Amino acid sequence: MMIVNIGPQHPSTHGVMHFRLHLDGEIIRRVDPEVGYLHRSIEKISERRLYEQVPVYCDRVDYTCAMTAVLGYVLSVESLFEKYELEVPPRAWYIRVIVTELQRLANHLLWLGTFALELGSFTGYMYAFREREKILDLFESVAGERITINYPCIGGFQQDLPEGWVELCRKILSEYPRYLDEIEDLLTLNPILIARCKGIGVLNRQTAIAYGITGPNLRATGVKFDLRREEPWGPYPELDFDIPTREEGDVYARYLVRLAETRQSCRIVLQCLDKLPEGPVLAKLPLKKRDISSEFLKERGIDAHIRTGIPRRLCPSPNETYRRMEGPRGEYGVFIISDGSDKPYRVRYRDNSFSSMSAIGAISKGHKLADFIAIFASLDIVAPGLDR
Amino acid sequence: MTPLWHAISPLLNSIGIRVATDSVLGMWITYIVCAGILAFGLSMLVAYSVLLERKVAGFIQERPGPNRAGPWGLLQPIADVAKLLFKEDIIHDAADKPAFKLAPFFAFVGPVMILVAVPFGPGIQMSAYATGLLMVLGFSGLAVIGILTGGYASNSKFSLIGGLRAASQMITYEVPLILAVLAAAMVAGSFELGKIVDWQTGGLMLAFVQPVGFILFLICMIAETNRTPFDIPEGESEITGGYHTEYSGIRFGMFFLGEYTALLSFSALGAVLFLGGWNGPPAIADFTAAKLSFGIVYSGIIWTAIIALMIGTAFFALRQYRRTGEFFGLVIICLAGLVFIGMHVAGSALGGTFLLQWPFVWLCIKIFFLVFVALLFRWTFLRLRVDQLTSFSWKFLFPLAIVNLFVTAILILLFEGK
Repeated sequence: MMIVNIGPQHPSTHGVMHFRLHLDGEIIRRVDPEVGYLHRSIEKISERRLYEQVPVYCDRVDYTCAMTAVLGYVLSVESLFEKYELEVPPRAWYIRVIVTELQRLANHLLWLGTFALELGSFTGYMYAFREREKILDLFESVAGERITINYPCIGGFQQDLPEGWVELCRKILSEYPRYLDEIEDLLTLNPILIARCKGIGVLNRQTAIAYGITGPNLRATGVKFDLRREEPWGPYPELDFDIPTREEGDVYARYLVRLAETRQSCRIVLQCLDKLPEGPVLAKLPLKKRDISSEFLKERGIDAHIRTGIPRRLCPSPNETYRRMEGPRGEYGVFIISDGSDKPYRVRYRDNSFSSMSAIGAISKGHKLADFIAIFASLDIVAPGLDR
Repeated sequence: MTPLWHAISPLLNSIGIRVATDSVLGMWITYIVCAGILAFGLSMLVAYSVLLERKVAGFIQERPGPNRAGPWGLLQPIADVAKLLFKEDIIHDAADKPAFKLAPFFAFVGPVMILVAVPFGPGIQMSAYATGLLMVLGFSGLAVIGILTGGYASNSKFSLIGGLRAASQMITYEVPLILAVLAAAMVAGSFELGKIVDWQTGGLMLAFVQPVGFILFLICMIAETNRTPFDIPEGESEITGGYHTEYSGIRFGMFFLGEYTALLSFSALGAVLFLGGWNGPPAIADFTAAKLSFGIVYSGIIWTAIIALMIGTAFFALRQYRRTGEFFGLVIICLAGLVFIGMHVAGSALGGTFLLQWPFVWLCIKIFFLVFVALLFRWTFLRLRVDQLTSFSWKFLFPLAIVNLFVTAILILLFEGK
């Protein structure tokens, strides 16, 4: 029995992940996944910042889909308020759907590229990244950033979409299915890809549910569970889209589900662009003068008479909330406890990467070393999602 | 050697050195000049086939490829080699030092030695052994020793797995390779590469007479040179760099250049064995009955099938595919097939001596055609798994090669047996 370390630095982990493989020749007998290499204390930092300042850190929670990561936090904070206190305008809701779905598209393309690279097809990687670049260009023009985007904020968006963005987006997305066909021609029916993927890393329904796996990985096992349908927000109930599922639960099923999902995301964005209402994009925020005790001021040596100069802040009443949304790789939820001050008492982020990582040992036992890479790539695990 | 000597001796005479043709000194001078030409020419060819690879990859992937060093990136190979030369050469403490130092040379020398027996023109051949083909196959097996030694000496698990994979892969694919080459040698009636080319002079290329052998050779060639879809010994995403994980600087460069040298050498071997070597397109008058009768029977049916398949694929591709690299690849392969057929026809029309004055150019065209096919394979396929790779060879290629050998033998007995 030979122990081989895949990671923490390895070309196919794309980040710092670590698996200890117990190999018998090329056959895997046991996998020990290790997490903890990318802990950045984002949860603790979030407790020390104002509610409005936290989104700046959220994009690092999951840097491959920053838009969703920030939006998840924003939605969670908004759910701490009553409906009448904080009313997000309809245009903002539509733009939120557009950017989330674009982020899903970008994430799945990133996944497709790295998956193809793991299986040895550098051309597939370049094709997927070519499409992803176009979406990142769209992000750049709305937010000024390409990867770690801070576009959504509490109450909507700080800025509306730039001029001509809608037309550009529509043009890129209406061309997208054609380019995806091109990528599929290269990969989907490629006999080598099928030989490498079919029947490999089969995740059955019970195992998936037991490990808490959600998103495309769960849908590839035949469970039709999508939070956009189960707990919809904004205009999702009005939109027409399918939830692609597969029964097999193997690497190939996960591949097909993700590709089908990008087509659905494309449909959703095009519908939203057609229905996009006019109006403001930022709600009026229920700002409060903070209830600061004179003791607090005395501690910091601040005179009582300058209290009037302290700006008003967002201070939700003491409450706790868990708001989840369908992120590109499954359930993305943010749990917040508020204690009435201007800072969250506790913030907890839930990303599906951890669940997928937990299941990898169970599904890759008995396969070859090369299959492990395919399984690992197909689960779409990203390092920052494992530990914040 | 004699024509080579005839080329060299006037040059020597012109600078005032007079050496008798059959003297020992003359022989050694010829050897040294040959080695010099080979070393320089080969290193340039290898360097520029790397550039070709990167340019073709760029073209398939809709990106420019190297274009900063010199016009169209023409100085890129020089920059690459210079970088490799100046990089720090790290030999880590746990390595088996003598073996670690020796391994890259084996990996590099083996493929170079293949070229020793390759005829570059009529009579321009460094060694015309009667068993040249067997010698070449022996040298091609030398690279595996280098790779295995490198994998073992690195004292790293990734390297060890890579080395073991390489050993199993190269041994597995050597068997159908040898059987395919053997069938070609049987048709030509000689193990001497020069004689095999002579057999094809003015006649059909052996690829037309031995279509199955040619395709087997093409597949095994790519497997022997460890390129995608058979690049599992260095499968980057699995075992980081395979046998060369621990190598750096020019020692890594030796492995790297050895791989491309192997590609070129095997392409040269393929060009000599199956594509007529240094021959230009032959004239129709040269299609002598003796060579044709056997060729038509065996290759007629198979080539009709292949051409029908190519046309069918092209139609399917035009309907189904749009701007993919795969489509591009299919079109190129179809066109190349047509060009090969066209070359024979054009040669017939223009007379047998057309461009025959340039044997080396024809050989280069054929070598780079085979290199190009390998590049297209690499940039459109995915990597196979280790067990799929070996079972493909033992369960499909090996039986096919055996059947091909038997059919060829029977046909030779039927049509040429006297």
